[in-house]
Amino acid sequence: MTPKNQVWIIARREFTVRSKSKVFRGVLIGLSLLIIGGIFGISLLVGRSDTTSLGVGGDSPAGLVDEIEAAAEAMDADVVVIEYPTADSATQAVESGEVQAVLVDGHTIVSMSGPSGTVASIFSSAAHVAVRRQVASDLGLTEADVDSLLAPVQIEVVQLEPEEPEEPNQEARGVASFLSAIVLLTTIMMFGQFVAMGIVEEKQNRIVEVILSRARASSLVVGKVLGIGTLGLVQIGVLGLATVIGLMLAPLPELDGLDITSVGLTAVFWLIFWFVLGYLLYSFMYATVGATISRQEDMQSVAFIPAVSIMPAYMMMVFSMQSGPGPWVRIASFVPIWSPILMPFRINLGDVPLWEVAVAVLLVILTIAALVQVGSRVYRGAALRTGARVPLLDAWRSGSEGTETS
Amino acid sequence: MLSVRNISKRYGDVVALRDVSFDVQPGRILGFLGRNGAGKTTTMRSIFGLVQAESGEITYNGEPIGLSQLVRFGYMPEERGLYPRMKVRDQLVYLATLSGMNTADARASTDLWLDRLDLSDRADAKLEDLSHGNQQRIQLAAAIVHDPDLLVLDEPFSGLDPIGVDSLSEVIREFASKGAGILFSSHQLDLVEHICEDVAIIDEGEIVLIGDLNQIREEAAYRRVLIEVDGQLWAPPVSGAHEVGTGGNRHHIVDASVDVEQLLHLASSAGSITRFSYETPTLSDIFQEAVVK
Repeated sequence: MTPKNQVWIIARREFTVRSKSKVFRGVLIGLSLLIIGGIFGISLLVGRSDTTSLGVGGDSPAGLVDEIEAAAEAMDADVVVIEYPTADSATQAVESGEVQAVLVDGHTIVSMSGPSGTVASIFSSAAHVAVRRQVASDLGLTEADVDSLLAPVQIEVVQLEPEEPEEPNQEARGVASFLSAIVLLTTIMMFGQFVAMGIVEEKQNRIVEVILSRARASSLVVGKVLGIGTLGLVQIGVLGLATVIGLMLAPLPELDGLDITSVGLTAVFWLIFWFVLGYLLYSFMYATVGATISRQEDMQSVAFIPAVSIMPAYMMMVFSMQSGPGPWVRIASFVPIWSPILMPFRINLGDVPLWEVAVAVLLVILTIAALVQVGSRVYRGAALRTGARVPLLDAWRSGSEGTETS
Repeated sequence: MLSVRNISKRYGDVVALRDVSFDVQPGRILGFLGRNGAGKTTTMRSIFGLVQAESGEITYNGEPIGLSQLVRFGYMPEERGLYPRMKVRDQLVYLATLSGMNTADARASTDLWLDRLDLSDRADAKLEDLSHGNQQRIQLAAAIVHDPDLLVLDEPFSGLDPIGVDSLSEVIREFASKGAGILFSSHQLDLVEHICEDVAIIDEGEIVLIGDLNQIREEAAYRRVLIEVDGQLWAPPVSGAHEVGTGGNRHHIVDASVDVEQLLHLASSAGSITRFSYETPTLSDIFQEAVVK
C-alpha cells in the first residue's frame, strides 16, 4: 500500500458517492437543458424577421418582379415581392406596414422613412435591368442576346494584404468574458465549499479517526480534493459541452470568418484549465479552514476566509466592465489567489502574451503546493479535536509535532 | 510484536502519559485497564500516530510505525464513527481496500464478516438506517475486515448487550488464535476478566501493573476472603485486612501470608460460620489494589 494508492482510493470514493447523488445529476441535466434551450431561444430571436417584404405597383416594366428577386439574391438578401395592381394600393400597403417599401411605376420608391441602402439598390438595379431588357427586346434582339448583353461581369478580387478578421462586437465580448468568469468563480467556490463540508462531515461523524488510523492526513485531504474536483470537472465539462452542442445545433446566423464551434471549444478549454487551477487553490484553502471546525453550523465562521480572498478579483471585474481593464487588473491577474479568475477574464477580453499566462500559472501552482502542505498540517493538528473551533495557529502547531512516516 | 516504550505526553500542564511501556505479543490478548481519563485512549491513539508522544518509541516487529505497518492494524476508536449515508457493504469494502486489500478480496472478506455478524440482509442498507446494536457490529467489522495482524480496540465492550459481548469475545479469541496480537481497553473489569490473558493497568498516565493475569493472581501478596459469621459479613482481625466492594459484593482483602487455618479458627471463635471463601484475587481486586492506594 502506498500513499498514492490511498489517494486514488479516497478520491474514487468521493467521486462515486457524490456522483450518484440524485441532486447532483438532476442539477447537471437541468442546467444542460437550460443552456441548450437558451441558445436555441436566442438564435430564434436573432434569426427571425430577416425576410424583407417589398412590393411593386402601378405601371411596372415587364419582368420587374423577377429582376427584384434576382437582384436580392445577388445581394444575399431574403425578400418576398408582392405585386399590387395600382400605385395607390401599393402605397397603402406601405402605410399599413404590410411591406417595407414599394417600387411604383418602375421609377419611384415609396417607403415610410426612406428605404434602407439595400432596398434602394435592389430596386434601382432591378428597375435598371428591367428597363434595359425591355428596350433591347423592343430593338429586336433575341432573348439570348439580351441575356448576354445584360449578364453581369464577374469580377474577381485579389487581396494582397489579408483582411483582419472582423473584431466581434467588443461589448458583447466583455459581457461574455464577465459571464464565463462568474461561472468559473461560482463553480470554484461551490466545489471548494463541498471540500470543506466533506471534511467537517467526517469530523462530525468521527469516521476521521478510522480513516486516519490507516491513511495519512495528507492522503485524505488530497484524495478528497481530487475526487470532488473531478466531479467539478465533470460538471463544468458537461455544461461546456452543452454550450458547444447548442451552438452547433441551433440555427445561428452565419458570421463571416467566425467559426462559433471552435470559438466555443477554445473558451471551454480555458474554462476547464482555469477551473482546475482555481479549484485546487481554493479547495485546499477550504480544506484548511474546514479542518478547524467540527460542525456544519460553524461553517459560516470560516468559509468567509476563501470568500473574502476571491472577492477583490470579482470587484476588479465589475469595475473593468465599466471602464475597461486597467493596468491594475493586469497586475492583479498575477496574484495567485486572483489569477484563476482574472487571467481567463483577460484572455477572453483580448490577447494576453503567452509569457504572462505562463508566469501566472507557475505562481498558482507554487501556491497550490504550499497550500497542500499547510492544509495537511493543519488537518493533522485539528482532525481529532472536536467541539469549539480550533484556532488556525494552534492546529498548525500541533500538526507539526512529529513527522508522517511512509 | 507491538512494542510501546517509555512514551510520555503532556497536554499543557496535565500529564497524560508518563513512561508508558508494554508489549502486545502475537496471539495474546492484552487487556488495557484503567479508569476514565487514565490515558488509555491517548496511548492507543499514539500507536497510530493520531497523537504524537513527546518522547518514547513505538515499534512493530522492530520497525517504527509507518503506513506499511498501519495498514496491518485494525483499530476501533472509542469515538465510533462511519459514513452514515454510505451503504454498509460499500463502506467496508472501501475501508478494506484502503488498508491494502485488492477489491476482490475486500468484497469477499466484507461478505464473510457480514454473514458472520448476521448482517448479510442489511448489506445494501445505509448505515444510518441500522439499529444502534447493528451499527456497533459494523464498527467492529470495519476494524477487522482487512484481516489485521494487530487489533487495537478502544472500549469495544461498552454499550454491548450480553449477546454482543459474547460474540465480540469470540471474534477476539479467534483473531488471537490465528496469531494476531490484541490490545483492548476497558473499565468494565468483570466483563473482561475471562478474556484477558495479559493485563496492563494504567492510572493517571502511568502503568501501575503489568503481566500475565493468572500469574499476577497467583503471585499477588493478598487473597480475597468472604467470611460470614451468623449471616453477617465478618471482618477478619488479621494484618492488612480491609473491606472492598459495595452492597452485595462486599468482601475482604487479606495478606497472602494469612493462612486459611488461622482464619477459620478466628472466625469460628467469633460465632457460627455461615459462609467462607478464600481465593486468589479477581481482576477487580487486583485493579483496586493497584489503583486505589
